[in-house]
Amino acid sequence: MKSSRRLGAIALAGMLGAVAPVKAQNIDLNRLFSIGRDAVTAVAGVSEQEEQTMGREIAGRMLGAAPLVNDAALQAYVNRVGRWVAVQGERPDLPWRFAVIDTPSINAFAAPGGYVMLTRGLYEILDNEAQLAGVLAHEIAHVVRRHHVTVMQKSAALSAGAQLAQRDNRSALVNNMIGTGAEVFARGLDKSAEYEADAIGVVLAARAGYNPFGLVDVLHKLAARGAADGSLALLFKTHPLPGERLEQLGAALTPALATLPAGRELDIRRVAAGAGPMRAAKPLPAGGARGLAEQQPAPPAQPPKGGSGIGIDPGQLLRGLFGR
Amino acid sequence: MRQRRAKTVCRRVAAVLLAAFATLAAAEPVTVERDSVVRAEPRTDSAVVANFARGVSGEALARQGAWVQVKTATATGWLYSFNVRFGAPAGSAGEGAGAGSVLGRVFAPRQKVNVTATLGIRGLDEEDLKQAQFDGGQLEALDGFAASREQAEAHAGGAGLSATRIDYLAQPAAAAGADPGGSQ
Repeated sequence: MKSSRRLGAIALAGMLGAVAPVKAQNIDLNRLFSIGRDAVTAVAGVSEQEEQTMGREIAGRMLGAAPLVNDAALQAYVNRVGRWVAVQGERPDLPWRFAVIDTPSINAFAAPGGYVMLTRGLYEILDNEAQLAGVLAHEIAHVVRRHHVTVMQKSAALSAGAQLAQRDNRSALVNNMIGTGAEVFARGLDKSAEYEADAIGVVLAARAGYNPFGLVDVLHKLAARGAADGSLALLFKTHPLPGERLEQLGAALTPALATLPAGRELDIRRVAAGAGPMRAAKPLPAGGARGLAEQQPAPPAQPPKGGSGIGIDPGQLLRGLFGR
Repeated sequence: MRQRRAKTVCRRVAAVLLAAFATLAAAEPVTVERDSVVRAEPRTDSAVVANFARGVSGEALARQGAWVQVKTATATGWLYSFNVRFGAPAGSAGEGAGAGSVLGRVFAPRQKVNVTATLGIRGLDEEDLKQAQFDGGQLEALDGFAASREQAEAHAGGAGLSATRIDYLAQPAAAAGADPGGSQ
């Protein structure tokens, strides 16, 4: 136990790179990490299946915090728009899931593996489908670039030294990564990841045929609301201020403006009158979704029922989360 | 409560909503955020008709793509929307009759009072995320709404959207020092 703590401190010093109480000299971190193949896999390369398993766990928790808006046609609509935008990126065939969740907060979230959630508070201030596409495209960009995975990897790597002591316990290390997943939503990503997602989002929406400036419109809306708006509290805590994002996006967009097509704005589907949170214990996909669909939805990704893929025990995951 | 709030949202957002159209039915207050060149038309090769300094306020008359047409006391012309911020400037009274009410204050832009704690309206916060319990039923419902690639393409086709090849934007070398929107 003592030695694992020391290793942890050494790994921490290595990751932080500079000012740390313990010097990492004479320690080859690569060699250190290569001791446990499982640890290396988890830290250096997360497979798509692992990403989906983690994302599904995180998405399930998010839905526990804020359930779906009980409007099947709306959810189906958002999935079609989102999937169409996602198809324009480098990971078109992930099992993408898009949701409008029932909270007045103005925010949107992306979890690894293709889960994108938009709050009702944000949805209701959108004017057109191009703005919806822009917001979804920003989140899709986080998934495509694996921004959250990177953050979780860093976090897990910080304690990789400790994990080496129990390297046969692969799930513990993965737990460690997922355990930080909720913190990713609460603390947010690097500013640079947000700016990158904005810049990619504009292009994905434009590729999909939408007015490229839908996301810019939404950032203007957020900027106009300002820090006093309680519904934006978490968003402002986890993202650079919208004014800064507009400035960065403006700088990135300016050289390309002449080449971007005008695109379409299109009417957005409104939330059904009276729709509240979806509350059924185990709700079936409502007829509205299938009624709209000409084809059956893609089969769902395998849920992490205790042992899929990397052998995650959900109970253990939750302990990992709350044990922090 | 929800209905009242929704109505307030609608009213508050109405002005911003109009900004989506090429011509605004009612002018929207706007503040210039960066020193900007102002052009006669929404094109970079159009004649420069003025320069707006940071802090100048005016009205947005129209939007077109990345451009916004702004009228100030001294001139009217087009500049990049990145260079302006919409809404009344900080410290102003907000808008209309709603500004004095509790809800009006929430939705009025750029006010510096922190009303979060005094209002019942509160969404997800950090604590909610930390306390969140996995909900498998919701997740299964979500799976039922998933769209296949074919469904997505059908939606796009029906809406007249077609995919276009567009390269990702080059990252500006030093974004902070970059020069967005033809500013000077």
